[in-house]
Amino acid sequence: MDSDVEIEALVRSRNVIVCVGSGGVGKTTMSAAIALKAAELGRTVCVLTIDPARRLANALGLESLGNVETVVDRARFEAAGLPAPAGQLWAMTLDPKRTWDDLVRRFAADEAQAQRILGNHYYQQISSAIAGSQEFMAMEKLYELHESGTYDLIVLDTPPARHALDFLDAPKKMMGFMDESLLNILLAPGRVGLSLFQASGAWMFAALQRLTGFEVLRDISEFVRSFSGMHAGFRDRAARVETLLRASGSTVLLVTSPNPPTVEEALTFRRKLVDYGLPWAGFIVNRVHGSALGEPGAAEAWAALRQDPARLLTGLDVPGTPDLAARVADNLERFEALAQRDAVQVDRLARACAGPGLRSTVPAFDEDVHDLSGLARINRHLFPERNQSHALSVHR
Amino acid sequence: MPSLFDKRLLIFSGKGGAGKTSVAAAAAVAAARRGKRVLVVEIGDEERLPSIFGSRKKAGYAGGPVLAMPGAPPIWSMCLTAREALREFAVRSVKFEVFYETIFENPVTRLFTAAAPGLDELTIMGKLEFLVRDSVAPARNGPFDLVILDAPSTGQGLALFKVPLMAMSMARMGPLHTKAERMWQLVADSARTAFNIVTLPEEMPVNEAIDLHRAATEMGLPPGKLIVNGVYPDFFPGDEAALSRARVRGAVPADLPGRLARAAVDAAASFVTRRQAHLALIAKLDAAVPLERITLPFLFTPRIGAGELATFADSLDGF
Repeated sequence: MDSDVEIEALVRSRNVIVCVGSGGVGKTTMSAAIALKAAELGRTVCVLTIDPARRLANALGLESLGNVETVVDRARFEAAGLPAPAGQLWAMTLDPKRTWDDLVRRFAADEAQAQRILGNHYYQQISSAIAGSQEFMAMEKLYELHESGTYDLIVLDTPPARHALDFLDAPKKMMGFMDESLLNILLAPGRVGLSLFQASGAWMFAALQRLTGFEVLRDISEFVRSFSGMHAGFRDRAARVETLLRASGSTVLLVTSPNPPTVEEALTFRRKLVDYGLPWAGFIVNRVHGSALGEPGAAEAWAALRQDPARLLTGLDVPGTPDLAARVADNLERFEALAQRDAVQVDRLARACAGPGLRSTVPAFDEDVHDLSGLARINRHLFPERNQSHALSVHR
Repeated sequence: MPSLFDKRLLIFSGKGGAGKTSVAAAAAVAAARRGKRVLVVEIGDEERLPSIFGSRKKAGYAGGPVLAMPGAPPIWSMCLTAREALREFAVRSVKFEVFYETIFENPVTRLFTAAAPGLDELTIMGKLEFLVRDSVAPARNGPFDLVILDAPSTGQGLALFKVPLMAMSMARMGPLHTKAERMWQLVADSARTAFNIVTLPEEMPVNEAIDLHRAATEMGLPPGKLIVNGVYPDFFPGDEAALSRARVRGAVPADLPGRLARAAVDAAASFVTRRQAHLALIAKLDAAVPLERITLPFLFTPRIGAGELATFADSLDGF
């Protein structure tokens, strides 16, 4: 497929690559493959994953450690039959709860404030369980890794989301909630003089209290109050994350499968990313079925073969059951139908995204990718060896 | 064993992309074939169910019929958003719309309610509990027999069902506690509810299904079925070894028909390899997840439509 943006150029030049897309499309695998390539190109790269498949996590050496960057050492490359990279490949699995705790410790004025927050009932619930928390912390960790200056490139695998901008909106929502000025108006237990919003404020408080009971309001208001003075730090940080994501050193790649409903979601994602001013660079379509009947004359030749399927097995010495050849032919045609569907969807994506952009496809493999050599195999498709063939022709 | 379709609430959860929505829709078809009056519920701003049923009309928050099969009650769907659920709840509990406007449309409250972590999940759960209590038989004049929930994917899905527990532990008494307790009693009641897990025969979804089953069991969600979606059918019984051998044998022929024949044999061998991988992962699931398993075939069609739902429903019929 023609692509007017070279993914290799992105991997060589950017500081942040964010992979977004619907659940189940292979974001984690693509993120890891891109990071592997960057390391091969000599960069010091960290891939920040959210929830890697266990065997992939094992391949990257992430089996036990959460929230700590781990270098993928030489032995693991050797075991996968790959040369040691010119750069360094680091990987990390996000632990949202621990990232929250670290953040609280960082911004708390003193140990007492930190302990007050860490011990709050409501804090304990939201920091581990609630949707949005993961997105907030992924952004936080991205920023922290970027600020550390340790890495040339950070590849972020975003949490699966139904909405494209969850990873930006969720932090904002949560920040809005922790804004104490808001809470001061809403919940002032035991105080009189809700001057500004007096009438409705009193109503609200009464209604909420009737509904939730006093202790819930107390827990929540204590939670927000315990963040007293920290909000500015949080907000400042969130603004910096957004600046980082919009900066020229950052790029967003959209990963999708060729399933029609997933492609529809991808197009919605893409529109929102662009509207938001994020540097969208293109898409990767994963698990695309290839056609065997693509070359000129193939369709006619296949139709002729189809008349006499026994010819499919001649010379192969396959001692099959009687109608095996016919079933082999049926099977090819079923996958041809899938290949056609996929081609239509890939084309649809390309047409819907006018202007320059990366257009990459990765085929459906026989086996799930779960190790470094599998990632390298993906990279042979993500990064086709144009440079090499060019180099060969120069040498000749 | 009592049928899955005699419950009041069927929850379908699992990894994103595993086909929860299609499976929930197919379960609705299977239930309607038995004469059940079914309501399928999805959550979020982007409504997907009506189009899967082949309906052009959205059902929205109020819900509406999306599929009428001959001789079966019409299937309804409904798309819940937390915002509308909160509004409905508020109007219902303060009785007068004008109070709702004062309290819940107040800019401060709006900001607060839009942001409070957990509140979205709580209002959705509240609505779900109300639906089952108010609209499902034996409720008086309940228009439905069964509610099917297309739940959010794994992590968020569990958060949804955890929220009532969280609210109960935070509010140890009072109306919130009572309401949260009622929500929890519904989802945890094995007589009325079944928590079903949808997965694909691939490594990550399988591991996630195993983890999800463990977490759901620990929480006390009543076990339903394990649905493995997209399993390659047995197209080459007895020929697996021969095909795999044929693949590795011989060079690629130079002539076009020869290459096509080769491609066809390779595609068959590749199919066999993937089917074997599917079976190995299913064996792993069976060893780790003690739920009755339902296997749904991989569909070689471009898009899920009425025919595909019927095929899936056939597979679900006996449960």
